[in-house]
Amino acid sequence: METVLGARTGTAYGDGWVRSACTICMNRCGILAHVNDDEVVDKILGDPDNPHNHGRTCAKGDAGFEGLTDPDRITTPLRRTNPDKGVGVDPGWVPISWDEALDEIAGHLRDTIADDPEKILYTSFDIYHLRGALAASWVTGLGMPGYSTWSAAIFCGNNVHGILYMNQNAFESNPDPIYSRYILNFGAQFGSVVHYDTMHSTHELSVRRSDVRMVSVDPVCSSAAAVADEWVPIRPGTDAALILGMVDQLINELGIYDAEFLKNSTNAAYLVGTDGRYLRDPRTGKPLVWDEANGPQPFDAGTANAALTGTFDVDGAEARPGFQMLADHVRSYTPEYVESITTVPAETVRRLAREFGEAACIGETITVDGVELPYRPATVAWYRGLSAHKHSMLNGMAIILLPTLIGGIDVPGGLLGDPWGLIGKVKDLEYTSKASDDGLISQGFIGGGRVGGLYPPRPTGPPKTTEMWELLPCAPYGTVFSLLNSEQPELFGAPPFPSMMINFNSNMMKSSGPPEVVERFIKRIPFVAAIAKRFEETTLMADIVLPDVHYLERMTPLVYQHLASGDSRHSAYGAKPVVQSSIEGPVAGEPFVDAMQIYLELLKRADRLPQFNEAFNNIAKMRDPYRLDPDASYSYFEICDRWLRNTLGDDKGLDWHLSDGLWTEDKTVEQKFPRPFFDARAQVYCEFMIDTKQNLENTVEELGIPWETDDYQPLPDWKPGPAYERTAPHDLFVTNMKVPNHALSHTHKNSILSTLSNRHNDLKSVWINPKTADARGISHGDLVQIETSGGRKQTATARVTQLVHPEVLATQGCGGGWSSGSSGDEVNFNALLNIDVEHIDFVSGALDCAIAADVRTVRSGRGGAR
Amino acid sequence: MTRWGMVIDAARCVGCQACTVACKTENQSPLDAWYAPVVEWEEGEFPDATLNYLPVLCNHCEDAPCVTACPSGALTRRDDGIVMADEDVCIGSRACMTACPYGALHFFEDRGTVAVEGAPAEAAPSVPERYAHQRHVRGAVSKCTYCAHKIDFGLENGLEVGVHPLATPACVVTCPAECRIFGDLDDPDSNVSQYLAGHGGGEVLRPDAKTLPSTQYVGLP
Amino acid sequence: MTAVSPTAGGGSGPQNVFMDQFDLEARTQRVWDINHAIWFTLMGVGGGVFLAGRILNLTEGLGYLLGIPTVDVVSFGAIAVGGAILVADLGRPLQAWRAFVNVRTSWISWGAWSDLIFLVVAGLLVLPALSLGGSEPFSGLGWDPHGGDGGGLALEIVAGVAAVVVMTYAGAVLARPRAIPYWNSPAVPLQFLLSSAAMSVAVVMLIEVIAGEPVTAGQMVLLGLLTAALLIAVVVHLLTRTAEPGKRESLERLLRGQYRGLFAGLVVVAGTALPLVLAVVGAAASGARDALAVLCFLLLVPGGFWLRLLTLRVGIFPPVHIPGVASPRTAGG
Repeated sequence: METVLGARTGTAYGDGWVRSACTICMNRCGILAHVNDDEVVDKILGDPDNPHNHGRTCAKGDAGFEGLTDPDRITTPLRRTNPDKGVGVDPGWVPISWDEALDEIAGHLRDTIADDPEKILYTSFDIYHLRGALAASWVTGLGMPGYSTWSAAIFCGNNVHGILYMNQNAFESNPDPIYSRYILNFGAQFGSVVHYDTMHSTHELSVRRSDVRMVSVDPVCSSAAAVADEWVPIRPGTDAALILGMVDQLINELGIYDAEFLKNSTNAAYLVGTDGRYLRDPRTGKPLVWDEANGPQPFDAGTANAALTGTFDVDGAEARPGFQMLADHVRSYTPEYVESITTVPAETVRRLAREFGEAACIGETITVDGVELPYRPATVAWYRGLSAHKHSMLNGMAIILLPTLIGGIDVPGGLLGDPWGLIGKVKDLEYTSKASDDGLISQGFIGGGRVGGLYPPRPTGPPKTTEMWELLPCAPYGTVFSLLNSEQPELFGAPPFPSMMINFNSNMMKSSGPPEVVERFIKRIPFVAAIAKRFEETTLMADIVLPDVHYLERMTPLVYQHLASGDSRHSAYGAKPVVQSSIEGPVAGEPFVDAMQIYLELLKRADRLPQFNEAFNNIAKMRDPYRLDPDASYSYFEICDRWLRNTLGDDKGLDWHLSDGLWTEDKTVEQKFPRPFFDARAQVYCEFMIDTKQNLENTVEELGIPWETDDYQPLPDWKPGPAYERTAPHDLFVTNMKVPNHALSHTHKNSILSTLSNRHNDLKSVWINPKTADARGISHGDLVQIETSGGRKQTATARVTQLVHPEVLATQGCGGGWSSGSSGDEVNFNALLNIDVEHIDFVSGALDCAIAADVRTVRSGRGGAR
Repeated sequence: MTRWGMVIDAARCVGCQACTVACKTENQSPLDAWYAPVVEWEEGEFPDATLNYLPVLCNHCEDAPCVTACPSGALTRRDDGIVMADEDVCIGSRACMTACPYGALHFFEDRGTVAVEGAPAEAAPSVPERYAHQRHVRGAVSKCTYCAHKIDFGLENGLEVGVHPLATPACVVTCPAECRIFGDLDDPDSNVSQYLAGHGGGEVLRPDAKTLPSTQYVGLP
Repeated sequence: MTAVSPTAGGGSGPQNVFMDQFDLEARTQRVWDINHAIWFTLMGVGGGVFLAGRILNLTEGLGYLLGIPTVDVVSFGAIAVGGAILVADLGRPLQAWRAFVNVRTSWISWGAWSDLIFLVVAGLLVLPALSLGGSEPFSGLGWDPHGGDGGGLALEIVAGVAAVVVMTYAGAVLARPRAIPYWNSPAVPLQFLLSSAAMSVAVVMLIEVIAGEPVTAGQMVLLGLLTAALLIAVVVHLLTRTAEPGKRESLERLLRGQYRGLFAGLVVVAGTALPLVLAVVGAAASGARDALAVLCFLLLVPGGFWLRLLTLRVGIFPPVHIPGVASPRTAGG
């Protein structure tokens, strides 16, 4: 196919402007990039026609073209000649041909697939590939069960994705930016430019700022806390106590909850016996509810008034509705008890609960597009702040209770989900979920990636990989166990270790665990290939390196298919080459536009093209005549053309993508606010946890390995994390936070953003409360050393500030590094982490990121300097 | 007459520094110079502490002290109120830098990060630095121009200034919080005038300096 | 909001001011420093010595260089060296000629013109006296190099007026804008003028001593008056607008902070008060005048330099906004 690259007339903004998509963070905003007369990209604007970001960009997106002309770009395949690997070791790169490189990698693929395809480790957080059908089809084509997002899988969504699928059939959720009037951030930064849906939500909230009350519960006055109406500082890792205290207040003191919603759209009325399990109808096996008039009835018998509270006698068995179980369960979380755990004053606990409950407007409705809907303008936001903890899943089970109790799920003002389980399909999105036999929202294994849901739990069995996926029936990821198994191979009976790794857009060495731990892990993998634009810390560990294209050189369709929630338009668009890469790609005569071209070559050389074509047909929901013939070989461009036509219509193939490329459509009210339009129920009482725990315990007993199962419980609790009981001198918590002008770690080498960082939110700094600084004789500007209870160390510049909890040392992002262009003196928070049993959540696969630490002055600085 | 002005609703700012960077890439300012940053400061004591944000840029003053102080005539105020720096004329006395109460003038020092003058532009280590050296004059002072080149482009091409992204200052276009409004202060019906009227008038920075700024604020902390 | 960023002290680092710092603190100007203090001093001495020589009628009899009176040579030399430093300090020295453009509003342009006019006119004035290898090639020019005739007097007046501007404009450059409150006062150019005059009288006295001529009581009285006036100008400036943001921080630096010793010791005591005492003593005690004159020179010139340098170094911009302090509304109210 003759491809038209660099089409510069696809917008109404004149010559030189190309419509594309940003890749820097998960938001993937629509952009217009400008190419000057020197064929250099010199300016990026938000795409004004794009309903996702409305023509706006953040600092990162504005600076995104930097790096295109980086002198450190990798331009040819390279082979390592130094067999020694490690930090600071020169790999001795020598250039090799594409053929040589591809054949060698394909050979390893073939051998590994013949042995066990699960021994291929594909690590990638390439957000273009992950959200489309591409990454999933590539790994499925190889016979792998999924890919690993690696670092993200250790820190981010562990208690998010499964919880959201359980209660709202969504992978991500955000507060409704248009109708919300009360937003409670728990360690998250919704409303600032450090979250999802940033451009849209920040805009909506800013222009309505005086109508919205925003509260940030956070150990640090983050950029979202700074713009909030109230910052509630909290001791790290104790949020669940505050949340359960609020739940206690709402149910037991204030009586504020949406009874109608709980009865009809959750399992709150399901009767629970003394063994913690549902009481079931002997005939149908359906869970029972208590009908005030007719006694026990199957939940789906049309009972109009199921009891939420009370204790009932069901054929001699004592039973309470799940809601009553919850009410009784949270009674111990009195405001005073919560204060003792969280440092949040008891009065504040009471007030937050009252504010949240009153703002929920229970019983009120609002008319949207002529349809009357429940109006619940109070909601919450959380991500890594609650997730990166030892008892992560319990934190998630706690936080979801708040929107669930008030019926604030997928209705105006509430928590709005992004149902992207339907990859590759923009039109005809299924917004409703099939209900399980118990009437519950049922999603399970999500998409083509290795991302698991929470309910229904997966079956357990002997672990097939170091990720221990089979022993994590409720976890979205098991990545952190790979590091644990590498550090302590005998702990779990040495599950099969990866034979090879392909690494793409995931700087594991810097962005996951301590570098020496990740280094040991990677060194144990016999063969490592990396695809990279320039040498990152992880690239330097590879045996073969293949060049990649910059995102402004990429052509990847459908990278964005709906994330903006609620009352906004659908959109679909992708990336196209703003400039054509001068790097020769894997296919002779074909412009190099995407790493998928490499994967297609590898699949071809490993004889896996038929499997890939089949996988793609399934995952992208391909229809005739666009389906790929399993026995045919297609170029990347042909696949894109078919995929686009299949997804958006026959007139919207590759030519359309390259010349226009933005599809938008109005949503129906059902799509905007789906909850009132489907029957499947959310969960208040996670009964399935009881059997899951039992199954798991049976499995690990058979395997004869230690495993923690205490946190498999139907109702959440706050439990102390490993750093909670701190002893001097390591009596502080060290944590990190996100900043608006960096995304993950891959913007650190952007010269504009790093210069801005040096001036502004210095990544070399650690925030210390003046009280703490005084007690340790630390002055503003001192060079200090942070030392964890695990003996790991980082040096930083002290920023003595009122903006941090006195028990907390707050660092920013995960800076530092040793590859060319890195600022070695930045703080790398990940280097402080502990990869051990004590810090890992055995339910969600999260790693605790509140580490017990000490801080001492190493060298006195100039007071006042900042 | 037209008097271009910017109204910044400081209460909306989320401190994301998008404007800071959009300005830098639009104007290709020297790497160490920031024409339009968001300054921030702490307020209060823990736990009642917070961080405040304030976007700042050239105030395009009616009585511009930089223009008054400039010996070479490099700094001028256009008829539409925009204060411009002609870097080819500037002698680098930096009198303007001590005269401006807002710190809005930026001296482009040769900081030794880039090859000497006359070296090929490709020698510059990054796109922003390369273009800074092509677009700006070392030893001269440069500044925010309200993206006058975009305004002029818009006027020449019939685009609505303050609305169309190619005819509006970069900091205004990029701002996710819609903090900034740009328009004609002399037109009582303009977006800026109406916004000011709706907020009981604007405030200015350093009112004691009596510079009569065209950059005005509402919602100042 | 009282914290002040560390000053550059003339070291390396960007000169760009607070807008590049992303905070809302009072900010010390880092644009002008030691080079400027030197040329401010040299300009003051240069203009002042010319005037002092003429007013005190001390051009003759104190030695000559190529036929030109020492006093004038010192004057021209100081201004030429000061001007060279000024030009060298420009960002674009080759464009220095453009400094003459904006005479309508720029004090630097006035300074450039006054320097030029002074050097040209005063140079013309003394040109007839120029002696090169025993010949006086310009003696034919039709005016008296000592201002004794109409032409000479006209040149002398023009040069004198230019000299006054030369002595004053550096202070005026600082005083005109409102950006830096410590500078924004007539006291600054007045201090510079008085300091220049006092330094210049001391320089002339030194030349007298070297030339073996007696220092007179009148000269000592003049010096005493100038130093007394300077002391008053300094003290009054320290006592006015003391609470104003920016000036408050400047005064804090001068009176209590890092410059306390230098300011009190070198500027106020050694550079002003002590010469005043010595001048009073010298006016009364004829025997010690030479020694006192030398002492005054040794105290006054460094004092003048430090007065200028410290004035530059305490040039502090107050925060662009004082939180909680509303400004008058601009429109629409």
